[in-house]
Amino acid sequence: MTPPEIGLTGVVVLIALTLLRVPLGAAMGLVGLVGYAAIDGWDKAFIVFGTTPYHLTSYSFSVLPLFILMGTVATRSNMSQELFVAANAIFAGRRGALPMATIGACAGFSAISGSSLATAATFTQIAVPEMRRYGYDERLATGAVAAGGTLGILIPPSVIMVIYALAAEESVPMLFAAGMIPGLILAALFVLVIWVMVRLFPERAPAGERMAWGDRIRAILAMWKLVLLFGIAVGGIYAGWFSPTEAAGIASFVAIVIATASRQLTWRGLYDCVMETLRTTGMLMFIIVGAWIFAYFVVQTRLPTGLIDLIKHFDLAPWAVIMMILVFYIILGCVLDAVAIILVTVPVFLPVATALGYDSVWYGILMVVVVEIGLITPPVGLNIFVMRAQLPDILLTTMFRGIAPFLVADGILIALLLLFPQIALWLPRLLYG
Amino acid sequence: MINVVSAAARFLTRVAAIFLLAMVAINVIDVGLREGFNAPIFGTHEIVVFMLAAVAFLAIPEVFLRDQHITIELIDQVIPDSAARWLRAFGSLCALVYVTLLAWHMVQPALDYIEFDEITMDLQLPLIWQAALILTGLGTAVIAASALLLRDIGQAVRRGE
Repeated sequence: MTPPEIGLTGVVVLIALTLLRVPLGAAMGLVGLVGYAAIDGWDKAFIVFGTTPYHLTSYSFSVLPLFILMGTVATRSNMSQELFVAANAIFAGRRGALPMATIGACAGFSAISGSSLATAATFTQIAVPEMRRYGYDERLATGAVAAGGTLGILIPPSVIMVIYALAAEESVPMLFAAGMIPGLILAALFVLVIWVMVRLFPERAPAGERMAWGDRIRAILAMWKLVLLFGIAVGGIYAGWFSPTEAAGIASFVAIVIATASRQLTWRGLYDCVMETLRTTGMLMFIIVGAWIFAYFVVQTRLPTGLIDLIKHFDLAPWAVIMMILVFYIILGCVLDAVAIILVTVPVFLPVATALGYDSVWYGILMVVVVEIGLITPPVGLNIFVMRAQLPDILLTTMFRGIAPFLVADGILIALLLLFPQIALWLPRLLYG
Repeated sequence: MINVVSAAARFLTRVAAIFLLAMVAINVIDVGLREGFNAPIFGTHEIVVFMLAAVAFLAIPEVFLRDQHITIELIDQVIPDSAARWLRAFGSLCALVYVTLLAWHMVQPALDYIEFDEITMDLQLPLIWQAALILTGLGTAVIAASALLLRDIGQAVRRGE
């Protein structure tokens, strides 16, 4: 077998193992080891295998547990409730105000949580009961929360973006800057979808209650915690004051201080946050070690080079190749989760995209958008399962039907990113040249 | 057996918790001293990397015991329960094989750190300290994965009877 053939076989075996319920990290590590050995012999394979975890213990990885800690503390300390009230104050009085407020609050919460699942889980508890109380259609209510939750990985800081940055050896600040405008555009598109939906089906959303301007301003001012945390975590990086690790460390500290001072976090709560952070980090590190071993194997297979040669052979236009990759990602998103998709595919497809002249930061943002679609589409739409666990009386089919209109917004954002890459690249180039 | 392994795993996660909070503290203090007094802590990066070894690897045994690894549970939904339990045991077996091979092949590079007295650039911290933390996490993960495999096989056999 030639190395590219071994590579293709490895990818097929990897997918088979993951479908056979082998933990993803173990599947990638085992395939990477055996595949590497098939090309370069067992001795070299075991050297790569045994040294990878040591190489991964580097400064750039330290950002991961610290951002996870910040998000965990923010999730547990009621900031989400204040955000929802503040977002509601902005949209109060409109038909569809609560789902619009949900999107706004999710966008705001994304700026401190960094996780789609945390965002979806949090607002399922806060927003859905409120929307049901006011008689909103369940499809609209659950669709808004599920879609809003996906903003968690697009609006910085984002754990998925950090993982992409580590896998692609890209700059975390560049990616955080690149995700901001697409994230805001997607939030605006989600609000637009709700506006259109309530125009077409007014029976799904009751007219909203009006709110006095004084109350609105008070509710909006209560968002200061979010503004402060976002200012430190992302603003500090944009301004060049802190490295991503420093920003994550300081933002974690400030989140703990705010939550403790405002009596929203007890010592027991802090202990739980720290333990949860460590388990999430351990789970991610286990996958990352496997992914790195798999990536070394992919490099040995020369699979990306083979793909580039194939593209040249068929004289395919770069945009057509990107479209094919996107379709592949959307299919993959139906069976793999976001971390898995990024870690499995970056070594294979990123060299192809850059060889075609695409920017790796832009490609990262495009990947995150596509991957987030997988979070809300069957059969492994994780956001949906998180919501379903908390809302057992709402059918999965109702939730998936509620999400369908929001997928149009995702499609529009992908089209905009393809047509106008500057949407993602303008801010990082402005900030970092 | 699983109770002993669980207690050991929980202990390691608590040790990692101390390192995580210390990692937060050192970043805050370092930035404070740098911005306030132009006197950053010497070798912060190396201290953070050392702490990361504990934070990233010491909780892995508990991840095993709590079944928190990312797995795709697609086939489970379409096959009989008894087959799903064997599938679960197969997944645990693969995880055990992987983590055992990994931990075993990490021993030699760790011994090389000792033999060649490898140290960090600034603080001259022996690299074996870092390696020892990582190996402790993965070594305990091997025991946790073994306990999990025995549990899964036991469940598959018991329900099959």
